[in-house]
Amino acid sequence: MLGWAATAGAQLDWRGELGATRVEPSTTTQRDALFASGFIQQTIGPVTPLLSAAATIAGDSVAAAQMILAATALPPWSVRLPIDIGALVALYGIAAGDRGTSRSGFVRQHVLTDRGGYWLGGSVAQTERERPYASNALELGVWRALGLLRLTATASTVQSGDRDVFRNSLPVSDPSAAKVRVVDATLIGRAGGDRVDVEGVIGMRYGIVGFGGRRDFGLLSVAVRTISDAYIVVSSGSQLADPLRGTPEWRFVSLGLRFASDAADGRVRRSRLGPLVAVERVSDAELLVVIAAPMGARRVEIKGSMTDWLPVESVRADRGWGVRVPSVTGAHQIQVRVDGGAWRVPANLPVVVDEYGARSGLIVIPDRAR
Amino acid sequence: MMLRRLSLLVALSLAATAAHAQGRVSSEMLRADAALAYELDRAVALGLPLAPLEAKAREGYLKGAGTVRVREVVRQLTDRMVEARDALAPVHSANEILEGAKALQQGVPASVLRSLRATQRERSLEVSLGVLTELVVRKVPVQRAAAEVTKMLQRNVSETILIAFGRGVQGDISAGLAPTVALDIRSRGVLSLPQLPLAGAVLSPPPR
Repeated sequence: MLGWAATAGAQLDWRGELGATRVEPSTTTQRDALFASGFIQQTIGPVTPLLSAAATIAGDSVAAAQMILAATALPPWSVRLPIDIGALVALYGIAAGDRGTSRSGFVRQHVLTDRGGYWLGGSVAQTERERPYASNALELGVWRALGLLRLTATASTVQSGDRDVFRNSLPVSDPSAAKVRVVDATLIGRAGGDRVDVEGVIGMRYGIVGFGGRRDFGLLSVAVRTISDAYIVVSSGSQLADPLRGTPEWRFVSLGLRFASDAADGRVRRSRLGPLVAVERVSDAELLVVIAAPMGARRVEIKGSMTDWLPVESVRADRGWGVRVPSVTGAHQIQVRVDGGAWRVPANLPVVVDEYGARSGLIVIPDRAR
Repeated sequence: MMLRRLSLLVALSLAATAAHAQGRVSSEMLRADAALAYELDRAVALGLPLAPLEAKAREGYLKGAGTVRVREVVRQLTDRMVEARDALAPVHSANEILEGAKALQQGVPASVLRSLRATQRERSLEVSLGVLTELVVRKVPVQRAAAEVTKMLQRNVSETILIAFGRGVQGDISAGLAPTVALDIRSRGVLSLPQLPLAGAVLSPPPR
């Protein structure tokens, strides 16, 4: 599953990870491998193109590799309806063994809400092994943020002409079926802090056509931030067979080192660019602080001299996020926090370091009469 | 007596910890620290408004500063407010004193405050001092920034235009211009405007 989406503002995001893994595919014997993966994405106005690549190397052969070229676009009619569209090419057994390739395309329509979102997506794929197979998938997902915890639930169905890809993972119910179909239900929990990110996945696969029975799966991944943007990542679990990429079911344990331009997040990533802040006068006694936070932000708070340094949660408005504060003339310090992360200086304000060593943005409020 | 003071200090410490979570440190709790209470009383005796000093102390506890640091910051703010009040006399409001103190903290000398007051005695300098502080924080040299703010005060431009001027300079600096160059560009732009008969009538205060 691709875990990415756009953030507002012009910024470059990237992530790279390399490490060692022990994999046990359902189709072959256990093997040790090295892996490398990464992505780079650049927001350009309403469009965020993404290039992602990954490779797993076992012994003297490249066991598998894949590349994704995709983009998230914000339609002009709403910032709450981003669309993902992309293409994926996967190669496996490149130098030895069971060789094959896969090409797929996908599209996904998101609906973002104040605390989460929904999406509906579909993909089609062509897998080439000893002969070509066609597959397609339909996916419905929902996610919701609960503080630092993000829960995502998906339900999907996959149909494929490649019945071998499910072999060894589900009992065969109809050996003569030309196409097979399975249904997956997945629950993903992610808790991200400044130093530790934990992600857990549990799910079930049901055989519908050609196969029967149920297959449980799950994985756990813990990333610990070391210095700057480097993480040590330990993961273990099982991955289901994916007919869209032609990959079999496997179990794995891995240890890796991840470098990221920001805390690598889930479907909607945190922005490295600080939020933007402006102040408007609502009345003689009140100001409206307007915050332009990264797209997909679920909770935006401000604090500063206007709030006696107590955090005040803002509410989503048409142009971004807003919070009303009492009007006090003069220079004020302000900080913004998005999704419970670190307090940050608004990117459009000059930075001032106060007597207590904290960095804030400085904004000047005019007198109401002038 | 000692036991009572100790218990109050423990309460203050706990309050400061709670303040991290959400709460507010009351004036009574602040005064549980005798040394801080002394500083607050000293400010009152000097005729200064208490609210900004208490707010500064609360801010310290909310940011996790220790009692010694909070006392020191309050003492320094008291001294700067006294210096600002003297430089800005006759002051128009307590907030004007506070804005003067903020400017002093950012390295604006008291002589600049005196000069601004001499330029504009009829109008509060809260916003002018705020814009000056903003420019200095943006690394515009103090004397250059003060000269431009003074020019605008002499022209009696509205506070809205003053703030727009400051933000324009910031935007130019963000776009890569050196602070002094940015200031020059903006000041030429603003000062070369006509006398703003329409906007000025709406945005500027009536002559007193």
